Amino acid sequence: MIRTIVRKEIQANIVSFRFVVTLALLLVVVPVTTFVLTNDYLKKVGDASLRQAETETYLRSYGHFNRIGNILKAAEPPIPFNTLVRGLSADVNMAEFDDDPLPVMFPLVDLVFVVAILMSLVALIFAYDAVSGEKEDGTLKLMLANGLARPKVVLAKVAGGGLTLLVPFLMSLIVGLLVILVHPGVDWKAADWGALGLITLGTVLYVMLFYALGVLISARHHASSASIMTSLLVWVLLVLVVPSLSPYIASFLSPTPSRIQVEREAERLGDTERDDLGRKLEAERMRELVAKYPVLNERLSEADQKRLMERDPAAREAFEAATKAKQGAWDEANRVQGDKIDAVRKAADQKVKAQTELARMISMVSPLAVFTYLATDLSSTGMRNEAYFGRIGGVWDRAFWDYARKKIAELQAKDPATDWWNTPVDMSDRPRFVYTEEALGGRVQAALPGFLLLLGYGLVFFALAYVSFVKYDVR
Amino acid sequence: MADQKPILKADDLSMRYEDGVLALDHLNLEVHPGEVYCLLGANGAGKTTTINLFLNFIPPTTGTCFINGIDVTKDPLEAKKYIAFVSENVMLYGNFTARQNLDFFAKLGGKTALAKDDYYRVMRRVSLQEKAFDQRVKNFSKGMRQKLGIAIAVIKDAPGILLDEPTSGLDPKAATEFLEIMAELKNEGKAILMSTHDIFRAKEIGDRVGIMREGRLVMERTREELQHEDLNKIYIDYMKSAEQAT
Amino acid sequence: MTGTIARKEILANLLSYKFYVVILLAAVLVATSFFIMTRDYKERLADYSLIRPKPGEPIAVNPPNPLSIFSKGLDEAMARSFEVGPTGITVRAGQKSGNTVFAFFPTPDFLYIVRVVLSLVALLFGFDQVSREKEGGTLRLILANPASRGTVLLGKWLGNFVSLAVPFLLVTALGIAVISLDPAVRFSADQVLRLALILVLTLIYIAFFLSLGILVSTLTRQASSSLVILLFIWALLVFVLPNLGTLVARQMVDVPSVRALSEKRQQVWTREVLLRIRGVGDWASHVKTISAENDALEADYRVKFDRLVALSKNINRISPVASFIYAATEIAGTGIGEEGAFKSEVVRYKNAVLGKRLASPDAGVADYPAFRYSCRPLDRVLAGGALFDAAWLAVCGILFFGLSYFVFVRYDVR
Repeated sequence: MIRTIVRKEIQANIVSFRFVVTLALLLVVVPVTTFVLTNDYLKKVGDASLRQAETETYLRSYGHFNRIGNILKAAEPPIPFNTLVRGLSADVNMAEFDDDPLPVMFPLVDLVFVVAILMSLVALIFAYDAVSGEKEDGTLKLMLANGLARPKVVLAKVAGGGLTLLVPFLMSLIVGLLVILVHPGVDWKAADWGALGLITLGTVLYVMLFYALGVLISARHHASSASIMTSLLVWVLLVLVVPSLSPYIASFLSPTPSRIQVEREAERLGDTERDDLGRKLEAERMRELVAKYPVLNERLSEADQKRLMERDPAAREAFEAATKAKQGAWDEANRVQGDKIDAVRKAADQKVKAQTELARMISMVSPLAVFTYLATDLSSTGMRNEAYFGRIGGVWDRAFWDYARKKIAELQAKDPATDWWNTPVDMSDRPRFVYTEEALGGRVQAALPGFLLLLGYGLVFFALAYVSFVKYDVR
Repeated sequence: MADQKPILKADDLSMRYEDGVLALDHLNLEVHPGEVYCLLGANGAGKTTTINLFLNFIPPTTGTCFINGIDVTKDPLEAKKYIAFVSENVMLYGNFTARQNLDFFAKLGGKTALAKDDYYRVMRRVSLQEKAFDQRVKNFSKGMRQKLGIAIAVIKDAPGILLDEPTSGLDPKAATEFLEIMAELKNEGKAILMSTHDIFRAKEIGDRVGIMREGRLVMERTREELQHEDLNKIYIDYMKSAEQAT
Repeated sequence: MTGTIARKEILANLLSYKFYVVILLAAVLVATSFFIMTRDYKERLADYSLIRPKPGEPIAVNPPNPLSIFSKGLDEAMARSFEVGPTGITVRAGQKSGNTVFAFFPTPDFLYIVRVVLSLVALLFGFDQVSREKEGGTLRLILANPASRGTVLLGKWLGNFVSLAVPFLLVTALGIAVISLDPAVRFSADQVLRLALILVLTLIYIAFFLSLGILVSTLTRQASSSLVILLFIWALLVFVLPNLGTLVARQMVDVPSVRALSEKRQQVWTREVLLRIRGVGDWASHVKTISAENDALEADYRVKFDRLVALSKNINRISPVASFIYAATEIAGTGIGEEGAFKSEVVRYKNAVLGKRLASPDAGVADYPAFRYSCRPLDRVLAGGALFDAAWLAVCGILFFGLSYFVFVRYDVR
């Protein structure tokens, strides 16, 4: 019985106008997008190797350790997944004068976008009259009059409709992948295929979730014209509004000092407060010493001081102790303030982390956000990758500076007279930063809660649809 | 009244659709003031096409429709001042009350200065229940909607009235009330063209009855002539011969 | 006759479920957006008071633009603090927040609400204008009266436009009034004028989508088909085309990436510093070299970038939604054109500062000219493309309405 209904759903959908239009739309948008993104990726790869060559050229003539931190940095290269998913990898670069304003105004169309926005809309377009439409046509009465159990009907509808939906999406995805594979410069690895498979699974869950939601809404309306309005309202809220509002709501509930405030505070602690503290400590220590060495009380010019030091060993002891005390005072001031600055920065970082987590939580009310995080984490273009990149970047950074110190020591040993920090040095034996994507296991671990949440949403919507349909008035 | 100029006149009207189907084949008919003309025929015989041509919803292939002497295709806006239309199965504006629907169509028909009481009077005249006057139309039964449709036509007070299958789906009481209104309007001097399947009521109200078959008017009888004939039998005979011919 | 039909449309809307859902949604979204973006603006304003240069410091900072409450655009980039030193321009204070969730989703400013939600709403008002009345049989009833098809269409358009525009303007005006009550937010007269222009632009935008909705309504016989087509067209026009165009333009214009640019700058600087330490030439000549090479890089980049922007603009304009974005952001002073002008001004300031420094190297540190930037005047903004974009949007709307008339005259109402 269920199979009959499922088959009817599929048949009815495939010949429907909306199916044809969806198919046409996706078959155009997905391949065009992947084509353009692939070219963009290949261009970036070319650009990256060009920059690499330029850096090498520079290093050969001018590579010196003092400013090497500005030249050699851990940089994230373009990865094959950028042909499908953009995530956070847009080249915005607000930390430099040279920033690219276009991605802020016109964010990218990528696979995540197509699925998240278009497919969810399509799912609702297919589902909004699943129940109300059949009631209006009179066919619902006929179906139920034939002794079909309502639970079976709703299950079959969701299954049939959902399956039909996935056909255009998977077809367009395959065409898109063919476009990518046809380009010789894109090097997919086994882990990438695994991740892509998992993203596709996520897509299936996402689309089915929205289809179930559409059926639920349909089962709560008696006119399809009202059902579509509610569906669109819900869609706009879930897909377009909630994600964009979430970080702002989080910043309202869990405020953090802005970076500027933190830096200003750090500056204050490191400058004025440190100066005050240094002077205070210096004064304290000098008072102690003056008690011990009365000679320090005298106001001598530097020349006189020097002469006194040469003549009187006690005086010399006094002045040396004074110098040491002053140095010690300022060292302590620096240390104390340094610790304070660290504490401030750490506290701020924790607050930012808390706010980010809260924003994530709030945004995950929207399945679009859940799917976005899932897809970007699996494709190494999301927040998890940022953290991962930060870690491996730090590892390389430490390795490089160890190398630098060792090299300088070697060179100093050979030629102590030269200022090796400011002399061009051959660095061709330096540790290179190599970026490889995080192992699939780690990425899957990050994405797992997302999968569960999408599945959870789907089940909840289905359950509610089920209950609504069982109580639906078919007259 | 039959000697007065006809309000509705179809002159050698033919209509061939793009797919070649001949919907009307040289149709000639006239409806005079104070006359009810019932157009009978099977589905697809051309009754609705005739009405659509009078309303200028489609242009005829040959021939002309005249309303009050005005060629409908040449000056449609002027012509439409003189007719009112009652459609089969009209949903009207569901969120509007009966009065609001009436108000809108009255204004469209040129009656812009009517008061609430005028609307109520017309609705009472067509036997619409009082409590329905200010109720939303979407809750109306078919009979109530049809009455409202007639009220819309009545309030326009046009000399000609076109009705498309007005009694289909009506219960006997509503149908009888409908016939009473038609009789009243006829006596006021309106020219009424009504397409219908309902032989029984056509015989009751029609001053003249025409049977259409495959786009042609194959028979026309006046009321006097019909008194001595069995309209039912004539109709069935014509339909049967049509079937045998095909 | 047109008036009768228009009035009926307004009344029908006032009695419909759809109308209230839509108005409520728009009101809630506009109010939320205003609240959030005002808070955001005030926070950035507080930050600005922290990074304001003391008189004489060679620092270029621009205060946040109050119109960024409505169109955030590139305001955050333009409100950064740039310090001019011998090595060029360094960013002293950049991005405000470390919360990466901001980067995932578009900013919910007024422009976003209008661009995305109001367009959908206008479509939802237009999509079943003709098809629903045909299906319901009322279209025949209307046309059985002396009302021409043009009158009917115009009446429908006007009635629905008023139904959309009036509540929307009321809600927006109320929101703006509430914002103005906040003492921290002050709009100059020029900014009020710009805001008014943006509202006019919004009305043109709504009119465009209403016309599009009605056009599709005349082309299909069933309301359900119109809806499906329109939703897809909407998704394409609003989300896909404006963004795809920029990507396509990048394929055709070779612009050095920002990373390449900053890497080159670093290389120039460190090379010159090294040469200086090695004793080649005096300090001034190095500063001049750095400045000259940086300027060459900047000029080259600007030329290519401007070409990219121009090309992507022209491609994006296939979707009038892009025109709306361009026009609105430029009028607000947070668009690409404004950002380019601002950056040029910063470069000019850098040259002035460096010139002064080289001329009197022993002068006190705190004696540099102050940086002052004011938004490009409105007439320049309009002449620079905003008027064209607004006109294009209006023309497309009129074109669609004209097409609807052409189709509707031939529409089979039976």
